[in-house]
Amino acid sequence: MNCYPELTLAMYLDGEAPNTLAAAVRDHLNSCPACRSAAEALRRENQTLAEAVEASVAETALPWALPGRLRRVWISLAAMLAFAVMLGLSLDWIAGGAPPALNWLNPFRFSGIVTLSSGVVSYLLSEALPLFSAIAGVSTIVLVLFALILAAVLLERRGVSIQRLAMSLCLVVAFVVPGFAVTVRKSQNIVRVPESETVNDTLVAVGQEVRVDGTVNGDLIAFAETVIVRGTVKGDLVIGGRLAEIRGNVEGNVIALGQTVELFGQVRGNIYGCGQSLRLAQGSVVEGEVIVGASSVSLDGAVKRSVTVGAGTTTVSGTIGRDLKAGVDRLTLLASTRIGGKTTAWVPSRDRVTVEPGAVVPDGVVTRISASRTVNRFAQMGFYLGMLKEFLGALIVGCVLVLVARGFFTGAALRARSFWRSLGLGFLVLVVTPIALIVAAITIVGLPLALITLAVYLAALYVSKIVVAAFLGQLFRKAPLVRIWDWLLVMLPALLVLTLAFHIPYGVGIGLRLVVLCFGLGALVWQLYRTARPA
Amino acid sequence: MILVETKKEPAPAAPASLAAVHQQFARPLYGLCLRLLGNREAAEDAVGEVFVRLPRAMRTYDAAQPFANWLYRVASNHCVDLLRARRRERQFVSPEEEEALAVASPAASPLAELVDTERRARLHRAIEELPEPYRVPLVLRDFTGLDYGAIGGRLGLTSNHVGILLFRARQELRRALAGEQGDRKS
Repeated sequence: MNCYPELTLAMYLDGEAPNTLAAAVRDHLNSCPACRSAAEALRRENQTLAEAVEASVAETALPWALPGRLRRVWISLAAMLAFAVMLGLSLDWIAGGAPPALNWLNPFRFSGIVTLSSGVVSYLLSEALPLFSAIAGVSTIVLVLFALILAAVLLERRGVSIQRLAMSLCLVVAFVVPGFAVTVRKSQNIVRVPESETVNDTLVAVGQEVRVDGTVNGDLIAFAETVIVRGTVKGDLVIGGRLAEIRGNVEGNVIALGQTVELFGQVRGNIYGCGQSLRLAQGSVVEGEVIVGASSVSLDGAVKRSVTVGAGTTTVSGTIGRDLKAGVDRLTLLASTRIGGKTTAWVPSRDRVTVEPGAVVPDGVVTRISASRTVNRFAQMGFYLGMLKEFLGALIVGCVLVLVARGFFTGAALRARSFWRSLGLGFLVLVVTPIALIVAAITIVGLPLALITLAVYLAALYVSKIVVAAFLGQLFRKAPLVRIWDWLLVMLPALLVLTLAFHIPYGVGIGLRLVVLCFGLGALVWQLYRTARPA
Repeated sequence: MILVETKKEPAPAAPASLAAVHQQFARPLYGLCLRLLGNREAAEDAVGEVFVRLPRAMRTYDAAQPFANWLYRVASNHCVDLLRARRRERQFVSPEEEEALAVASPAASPLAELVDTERRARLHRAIEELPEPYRVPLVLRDFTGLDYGAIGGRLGLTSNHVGILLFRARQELRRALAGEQGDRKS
């Protein structure tokens, strides 16, 4: 008699043997007592095992009942907190320790930030621009195509038909693409528009030096080491560079970013400027408003409307048609100053405002002492109102996220469990994204993508602390959060704690804010990766 | 199959709310995910993911089938996806030829003798310590009630191969318990 191997009996007992084999085994068992006993033993064994597997699964202790788990979490949290405190104290020491004369180099002072930013932009434009343009141009086109294809695949998975997607895309493109042409001129040396030339497009000029002596019947966007506009610009003027001189006429607005910005001509619109030094020379005229931020501002020309200045030192000797608002270290109104409206100065102390005899300032200068380190902000009601606004704003946004994108948001809060991965990833995204945005924005085709990415980036920065609050809140809860109300209840105390912690003095709050930012950003990016990854 | 309810009994209705689902099934779901994934953190993540996806997944639930079985299948499918993603580079287990196996013996198996609490605990430990290629098919078979074909489909294996893995899992448990009994006697 040929007995069957144990494997065959096991498959027969599981009901998985093919029909003919099962029939043969059944016949054999009827005639072989030894195999019949073995099959019975196997059947009892399978029964015991199945019961044991079920009991083993059903009786497993839930994770919040395990003592080691919370201890590990607390250790990681404590390590992160210590890191944040050390980081904040270090930053505070650097910010406060530099001598005032070197403020222009101190990255934590406004003038230092402006100096560094304008230096970086100048270098990029003059030295690295040709290389970056080539790389960014190709890579941006590839990225845009990749983003479109990925969006199509993801939406197709979620049931959105390709036809609807294509129609939506056509509608978006139709409304986005402008109806006029753009002329781009690039050069390693000088980009020149001679006096006799008229450009009937928006002109983008990039080079070592840009000289516009002719007429531009559109906007002029100029980035160079030196930008000199002697001609006429019918639209807006956007300038970026180390030295920007406007000697001609601009019929639109002027947006100027540069180390030194000087206006000698006439501007029909407004001026928005940011730089180290900004000067409206004598004889210059601005028909609109002036809103500028710089280390040094000199207003010797005429501004028909209001002037708003955020600066280190501001000197006025010209005419301002309406109000002057200055948040400055020092304000000097020379004898030839003529102001038509109110003058308000936010300065560290009253002796920082000088009004020479002969200056026309109706009702005098309203001086407000700006908040300084000697003022105890904790004694100010405004400080607490600001914290309340910050807390309520975050809570409301958190509620909206749980309602609208519950799966993604709650998934991100769970992903934050990997502390150091989230922190590292978040720091990488925090630093790399602005660089990528600048590179993409330099190219024309990448500008819309850069703007969209910037909006998403800023939104992610704001949401990051809400994700961290959700993660911290659910640590203290024994059960997974299943209802929307559960998430709101855990976020509320956690957001309150974070809001208070961000305002701890001596830089600790800043360090905490930075660490929470990186932590939450990393969790969001990881969740995005997990969501987009094919199953 | 312990958890496959017979067709003669009406299928129990799904719980009315997610909170009720959690109250009733959190523990066995966690145990199932832990047995399949072999890692506590991964099991916690998996349980969390299952509950996050549950509202959407409920659209595919057929009220004619038992809710518990459906829920365990959802969880086990998710865990198997994680396992496959984790081990995408190599096969689950190298295919083996069916060996010339010994004829079944009617001698008493150590598994069959387990009745008291201590021995049951030993068996639970032995199940936890099984290598993943044996543990996963065993849990899918004995807890979620899948047949060889369904298990093979989820893991990318043939039915024959699943049968061999289950057989080896039981052999392994037998060996582990026999070894423990031998240690105790000596």
